[in-house]
Amino acid sequence: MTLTIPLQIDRARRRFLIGGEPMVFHCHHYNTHLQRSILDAPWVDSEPFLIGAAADVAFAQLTKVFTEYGAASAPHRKMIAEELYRWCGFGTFDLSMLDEEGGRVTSCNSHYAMAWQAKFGPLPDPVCYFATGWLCGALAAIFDLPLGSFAAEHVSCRAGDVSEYCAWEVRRGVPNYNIYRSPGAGKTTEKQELLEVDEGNVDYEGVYRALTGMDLSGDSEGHIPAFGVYLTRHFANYYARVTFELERALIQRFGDVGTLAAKPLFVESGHVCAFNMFGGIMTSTEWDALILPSLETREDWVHGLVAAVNALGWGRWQVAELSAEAATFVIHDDYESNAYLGMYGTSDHRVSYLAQGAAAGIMNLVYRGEIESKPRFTPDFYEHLFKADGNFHAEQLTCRAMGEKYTTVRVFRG
Amino acid sequence: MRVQGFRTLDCAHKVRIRYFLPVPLDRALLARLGGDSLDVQEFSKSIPGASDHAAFSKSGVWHATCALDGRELVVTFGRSGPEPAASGDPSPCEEAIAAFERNLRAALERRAA
Repeated sequence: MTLTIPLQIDRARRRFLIGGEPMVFHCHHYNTHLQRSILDAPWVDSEPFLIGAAADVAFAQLTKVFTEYGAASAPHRKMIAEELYRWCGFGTFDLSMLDEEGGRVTSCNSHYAMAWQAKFGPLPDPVCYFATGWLCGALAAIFDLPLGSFAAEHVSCRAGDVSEYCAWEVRRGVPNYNIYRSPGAGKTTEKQELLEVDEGNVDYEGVYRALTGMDLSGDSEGHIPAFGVYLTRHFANYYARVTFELERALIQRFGDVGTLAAKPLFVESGHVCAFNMFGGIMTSTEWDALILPSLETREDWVHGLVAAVNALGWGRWQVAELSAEAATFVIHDDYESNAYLGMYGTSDHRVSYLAQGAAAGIMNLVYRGEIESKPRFTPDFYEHLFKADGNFHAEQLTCRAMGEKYTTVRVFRG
Repeated sequence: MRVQGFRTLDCAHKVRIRYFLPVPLDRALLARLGGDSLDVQEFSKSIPGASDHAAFSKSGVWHATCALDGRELVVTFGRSGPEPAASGDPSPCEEAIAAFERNLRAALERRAA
């Protein structure tokens, strides 16, 4: 049976939704770097929220999707859940042997296991927290049980280089993770107040139309190889929850200093994302075909990339100011703010960390990276772009999560 | 006809080769490379001056992309195999690369003829 994925494109806000959950593109570099940053944070037991955040979004999404399809039977629901998981680039599952009491399930192509081993090498501990949580949330939705009805153990992981597959034992019982309630679409703007800006020689609308028309979905192994990286159509609310739960844990332990400790971790993950995903986009054959022919100035490279970013589901980015020395990016409905507002209410500090890292990454790639020469994205090149003298830094000036109209990030040379 | 190729490993340790061709890539040439699927994005209809983009593959063996009318072809091959056996047989990946490059050479020679 071929499943039509119920993808909703919110063009006005530059977002994607499935089952009420906003979905964003991120690559395996960001997925693993963010997770490692969270796992490495001292004094914080992150496993309950790394798993719980996934259970939450899976449960919320699949509950709605099953209703949209009129799927009432467990076999039908399992098929839908499997197909959606594969389509989003997380890998593949066969849920057929799982019942209301749980069971054992394996996967030989889990995104996180593949990504972790490729990026960091083998690790003795299992790394597929997202998949663990997804299974718990999915099973609860499949069998019309409350979220938190299942616990799961990730008993073996392909990232460990010992097993050729990942395995989970799922059982009915007390959950071994935190229970959250997804904010769904979050608190979005009623209408984006767009600025009158110079867009260079780039046709932003044309780029958006072209990229959102592409089939960027999981292959038979549940992977999305594109732009030189492995993409996932991931849950904005998952990223937000694991980020802000770590921040809140650090604040709880260390007070306001906790925010100062958390911010560089998340901004650095944004750097890693920009370096690899944006670098991959700008050196891809898709870029050569769609965007490169329009570029006449170096500033056009920034506009071309921002036009592409607007097709990632991150919200709508505008370039309000741009030169070789500095830039100001205005972001309408940035997914971090939307999620924060929906989860925790108005923030007392600026929280668009991914946006900060990504904005700095854009400027470093274009103005210091000679990106037009299609460099190799090596660790030394990363150090040169983000750690050496003269690199660009980002400062967030306004934040939707603090109740402001939009998020503003200024980038300048250090 | 001389083709330059630059080999790297992608993020999942799959061999990726960038080929720089002496002639523009078109659908006729792509059809001779041994793939079993082809997807063309008609970017030229979205933006004046843009080129169309082709993604094509031989299922489970290699995946390739290019801008049509461009000269760069990026091919990602299956995961690098183990060390060659004592008999000297090449790994499955090297066999796939060799087969692809034979087809590429033949397609270019036919274009030149």
